[in-house]
Amino acid sequence: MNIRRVFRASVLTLALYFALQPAAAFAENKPPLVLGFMPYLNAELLLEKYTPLAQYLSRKIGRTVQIHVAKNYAEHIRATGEDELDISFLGGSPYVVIGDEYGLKPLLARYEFDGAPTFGAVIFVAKNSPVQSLSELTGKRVAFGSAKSTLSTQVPVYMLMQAGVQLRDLAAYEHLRNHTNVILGVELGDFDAGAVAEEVFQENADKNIRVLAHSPVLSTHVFVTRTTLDQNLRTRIASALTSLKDDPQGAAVLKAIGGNLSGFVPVQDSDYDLHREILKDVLPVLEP
Amino acid sequence: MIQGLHRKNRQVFAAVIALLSVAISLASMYIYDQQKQQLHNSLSRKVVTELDLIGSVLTDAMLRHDYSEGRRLLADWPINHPDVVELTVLMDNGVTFFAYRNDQVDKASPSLTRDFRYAERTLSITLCHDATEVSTTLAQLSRNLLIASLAVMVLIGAALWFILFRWMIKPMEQEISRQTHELRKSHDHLEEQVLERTASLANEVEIRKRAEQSLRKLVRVVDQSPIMVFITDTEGIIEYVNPKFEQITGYSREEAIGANPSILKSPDTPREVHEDLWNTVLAGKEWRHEIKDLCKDGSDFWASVHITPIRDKNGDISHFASLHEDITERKQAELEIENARRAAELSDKAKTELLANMSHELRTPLNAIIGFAETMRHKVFGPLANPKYEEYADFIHSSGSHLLELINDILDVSAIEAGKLTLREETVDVTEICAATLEIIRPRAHEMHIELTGIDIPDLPLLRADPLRLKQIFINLLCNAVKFTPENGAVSCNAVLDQQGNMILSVMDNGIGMTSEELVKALDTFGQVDSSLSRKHEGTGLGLPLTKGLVELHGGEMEIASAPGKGTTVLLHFPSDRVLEVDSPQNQAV
Repeated sequence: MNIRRVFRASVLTLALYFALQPAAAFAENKPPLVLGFMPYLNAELLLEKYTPLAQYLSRKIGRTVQIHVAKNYAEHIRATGEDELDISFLGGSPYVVIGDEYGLKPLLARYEFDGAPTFGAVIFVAKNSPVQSLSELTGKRVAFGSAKSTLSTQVPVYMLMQAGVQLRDLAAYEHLRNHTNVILGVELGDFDAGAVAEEVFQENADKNIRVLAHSPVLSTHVFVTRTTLDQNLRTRIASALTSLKDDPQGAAVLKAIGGNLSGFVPVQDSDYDLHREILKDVLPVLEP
Repeated sequence: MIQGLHRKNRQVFAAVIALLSVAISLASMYIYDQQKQQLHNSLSRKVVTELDLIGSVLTDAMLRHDYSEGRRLLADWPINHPDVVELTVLMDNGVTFFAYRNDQVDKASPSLTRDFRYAERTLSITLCHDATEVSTTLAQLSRNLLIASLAVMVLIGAALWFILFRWMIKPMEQEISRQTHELRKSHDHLEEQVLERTASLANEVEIRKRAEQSLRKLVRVVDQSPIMVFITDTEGIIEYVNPKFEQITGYSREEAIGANPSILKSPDTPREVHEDLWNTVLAGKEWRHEIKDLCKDGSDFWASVHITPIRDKNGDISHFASLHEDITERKQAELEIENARRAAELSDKAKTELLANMSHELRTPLNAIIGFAETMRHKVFGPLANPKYEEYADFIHSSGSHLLELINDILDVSAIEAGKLTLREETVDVTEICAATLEIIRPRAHEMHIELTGIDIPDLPLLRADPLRLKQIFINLLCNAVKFTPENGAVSCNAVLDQQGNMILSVMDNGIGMTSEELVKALDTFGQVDSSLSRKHEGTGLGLPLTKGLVELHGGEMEIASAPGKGTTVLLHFPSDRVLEVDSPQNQAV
């Protein structure tokens, strides 16, 4: 058994318990709110990153907020679509898909990186790779993230399609469990190229990899609520999120989430039209 | 020998201990190497096992392209296995997938690297474990082995010492010592037996030699014997004759052997003698006789014959030994002696007759002479014409008496020597006889102023004796005492009974005495001691021999003690059977 992991989980649980004690004091009989995540990172890492945020929200909205990490993207999408999650973290593509399938979910706030509420995907190769353009990936092995991942699959596939490279033109492609595996798959040489969120790439910029192509700018990840959530509560949550960067503890919460996240900002459905356009081209390929 | 064995045992023990030490050292080294090899192998197997496990799990993750899971597995591995010193995963393109190294470990096992394939890729996993525990274990093992080796050496040495010396060597030494002792005893015993046997053999040889010498001596004795010897078988056939046989009989050895002893048979020997001879010897008895043997030339000789049966080991008669001693000369001598004896008897008879005749023929005229001289001295028929006649008459009477006394003494001595004198024994009072005798002697003693003392013992027993002869004894002794005692001397008589009841009479004087030579001479017949004093008193010289004869005729003894100048004491011992109490029945009967 991984002792370090157990120890870390125990610490987090205890921290969460003590952090929620004040909220619990005034929300005794109300069930906790569930903050759900898709497994775009390890569940452990996700807990580590978002526990401060959950504590922050609990304090702000007066109800306990629990973090839930789905087994996979499909599970998370289903749970979100079926309103099993009070608060759900979604990429732009899942948001669009869920909207198309289950109806639009109320938006709370979207991520802001370095002051911008957008981000992009990166297709990268090893530093010593001879490939210099996307079109040269024909006949190459390419690693993607989860098939339902916006930045590690849908957007990169769209980029390849825009460059004239269809999936069938590739020698091979694999949907790896997370972005880290994509980085490692290219670094180790199992794949000639890989696609990850630009945020992840930047975190691994010291590795033996280089950017082959950047994607168009896309609206960042978003928090939605279940359709049935109280409007007042929805507003309070959205307010709490957007006011985080102004909160005295906001910097710590943002730093815990990592990257160059600078805060959460208000969001609207049209921010994800590009996602709808991409999905229109990509989904038939990815989910024939 | 035991000390030498001890020294050898110690050398063997030291050699065994040395070999044992080398063996234990080699065994310890072998065990150490085996253990070391085993530990290293174990460690290597462990590393290989872990490598296999890591490889299988890692390749599985890599096949699923779950690199982060693979890396997490690798990162967790040293945490879960603190003994891992190095864990490195290198891809086939030179990319390091994972690297871990613990530089704080001093001792590390040799790194093992194994390649694993997944898809068409190859990755190399290098794993190295901490060997400090192995090194510590080996160091501990080395110390333990050293201690154990020393302990084992000491224990085995002690056990060997105990077993070798207490259980084996010591009993063996004791057994050897006992056996050596037994062997020595046996050897000594054997030597004793050999010595005894040698002595016995020497003794037997000596005995045999002596026997042979004795046999040779016997043969020589027989051969050179002055006695005629011949040996016959039980049938009487002669088998051996000695040279004396040939010499006496005239038969040669060849002539005699095989012949019958009858060749020696003399016609003078009665037939019954020969029948007795054969009956006796055939009965197994010896036969002795004096017979005449006949020689080859017809002459004969007297032989003292001694025939002895010779018996074999079973006691059966096998031969007869016949010894014939020529006694012809002895026979002749005996004949001569017999003739001489007869002559002596005739002579003695003549002497006795002579003495008887002399006693009668000499005494008759002598009594006439003494009687007539007595008549003349007493002038029975008137005074003598001339005084000279009186003197002559006295001289005739004195000489006649002396002659008669001499004749009587000679006759008595002769009678005693011839055993013709017979005692007329009766009970006598010695005191009275002594007193009577003193009265006879007293006039002569008075002349010489010699003091006479008789027997003065009132309770003196009576004596059975011939009173006349006892008186004669006293007269002889007292006369001699007075005769050889100077003037103013003293003569005394005495009588005592000794412890055996014998009566001892004594006549003692303090006269001239005698030397031992003179005493012997005085006891000889007619042997008077030559002295000036004796010459004054003529005597027959028969007094003492006659007295001694008379005492001995009474069964007594006469003893004389004398010293010149001091006197003479004569002791007469009469046996106790002659001593009688005054009131004894015998006395009364008498």
